[in-house]
Amino acid sequence: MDIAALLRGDAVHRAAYTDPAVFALEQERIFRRAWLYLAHESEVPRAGDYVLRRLGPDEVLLVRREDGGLSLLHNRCAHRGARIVTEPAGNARQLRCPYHSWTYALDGRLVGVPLPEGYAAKPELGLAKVARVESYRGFVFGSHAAEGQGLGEFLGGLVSAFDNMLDRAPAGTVSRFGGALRLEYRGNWKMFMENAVDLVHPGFVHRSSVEAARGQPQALAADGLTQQGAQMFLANGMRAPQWDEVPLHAFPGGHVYMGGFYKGGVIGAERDDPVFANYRKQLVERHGEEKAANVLALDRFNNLVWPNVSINARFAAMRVVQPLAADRTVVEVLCFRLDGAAPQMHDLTLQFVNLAASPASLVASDDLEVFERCQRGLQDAALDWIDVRRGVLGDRRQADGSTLGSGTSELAVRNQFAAWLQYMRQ
Amino acid sequence: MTGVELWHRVQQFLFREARLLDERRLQEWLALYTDDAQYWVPYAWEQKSPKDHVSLFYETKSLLSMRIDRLERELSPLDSPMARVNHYLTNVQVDAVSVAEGAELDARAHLLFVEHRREEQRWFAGRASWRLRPRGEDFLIAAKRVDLLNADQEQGHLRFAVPF
Repeated sequence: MDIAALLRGDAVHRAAYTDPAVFALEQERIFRRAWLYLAHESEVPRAGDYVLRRLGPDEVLLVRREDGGLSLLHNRCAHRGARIVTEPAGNARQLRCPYHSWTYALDGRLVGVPLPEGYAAKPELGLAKVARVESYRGFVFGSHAAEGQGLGEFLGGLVSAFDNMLDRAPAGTVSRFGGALRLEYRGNWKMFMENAVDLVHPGFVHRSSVEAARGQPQALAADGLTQQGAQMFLANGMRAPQWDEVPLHAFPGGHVYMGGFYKGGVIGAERDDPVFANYRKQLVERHGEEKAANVLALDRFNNLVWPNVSINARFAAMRVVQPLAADRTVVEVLCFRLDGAAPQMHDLTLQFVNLAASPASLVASDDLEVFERCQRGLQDAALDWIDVRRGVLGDRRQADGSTLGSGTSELAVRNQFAAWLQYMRQ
Repeated sequence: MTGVELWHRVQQFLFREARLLDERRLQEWLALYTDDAQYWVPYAWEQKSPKDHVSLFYETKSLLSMRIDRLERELSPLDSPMARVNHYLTNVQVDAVSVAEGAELDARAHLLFVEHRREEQRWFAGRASWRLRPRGEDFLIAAKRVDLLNADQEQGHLRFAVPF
């Protein structure tokens, strides 16, 4: 397949979104190579704890071993191929296949086979290991590629998003809580990553919830949950000049973040109630006044680690995009607890994801609808090319190799396709 | 009032709520709720609290009001064209929280929700429960909870516009 032919200047061929052969190649060349977010260490604190996750095309088990280390194993019996585990999480001393009871240690070694006398020697098989597993300050990533960039190098300019979430925790650590929301849509996975940093769509796609919130100004003075909803819905109603002031910062590898969102919008960067005042005090005790102010002032909405992670440090939430087919995607929405903070601070995180990202959300449901319309429309062969030139004249190359653009630019899409081509052509 | 009369009145009330949703009389539907009402559709099976786990819906009356306002403005791409929905209620039971006159009641039912939108019909089954506050001969809903059988299913939720 001539991958380079799918990009032409600042346009993308529709096959990049619709062709199952392109999707299969993406799975091999992107999702079997890049570092993909798996889990947080707080999900597997004790020996024997495991979680069942998707890592690109495969189902894998992240297991805490007795020596405290982490194993990342394929969930496929080395004998006849049965899935070993079906529960999303649990604790086990050994991993045992339900079919013929082949039994594995927590590091994947085969330790027991029934009727061993029938074998000339004990089979030298074990659960297949994922090539690399690495943790960045508790956030665990896996990569199917034995070689390549280390995790830190891969994250590059986006380590600051993880650092900021951790700096926002009074104890300096975070833990996962609250389960996971899952959003399915019948569209290509790249649409989610592009839309998360598309600041022109909110005024149109989200107009219904913007107008609904404008119609109820009293909601801004109501209980905390209502207030948070109204603020979030209203935030999408910023005008183009305001969105322009939200800069996009794009990095090599396809990563990008948008800054300046909360200052310009109606969601205040800080709050002035007693719970927040106390929280702020905790941060000052940890970091000192100047750093605490900087931590809270870091004002970014979506931080994207390409190909499939979006982090919101301000609300301690993360989304992970799981491609299922060229036209099917699931987005997992995850919450983190800021260790040491009062429970009311965690309410904000739960409310944020419920209101913004549930399949019933007044916001996300309209995004999903638009992705599905695009996917349907792109089946039409009358026009092959998708134009992504918006704002191209404003892209400003920085000395460190990153690029700055205005919020209304399609810089992020261009940057993601530059990374896409790099992965796909080798 | 006999248990049968109470059961009948509660059931008629719940059927009326379902009908208002089905007929898109959404302002009338909202008027059935108390100002401090809580509307909750958990995202985990047997979820204990909306405060320690994500939810599909967890809304106050004001948020519900924005939800229906949004649909009535006909600006949402999701709801264009409008979904047609049917709510089926069966197995209705009433549990009196207290025997005192005018005290709140708990009602429960099995719910089947069918939504037709464009070329697709979707079915959701669940268990609904209501906390009802008597208002004269009638009731107001102080809390409603709907537990979908597939609340924690990985795929297939897609999106919802009209509440359950």
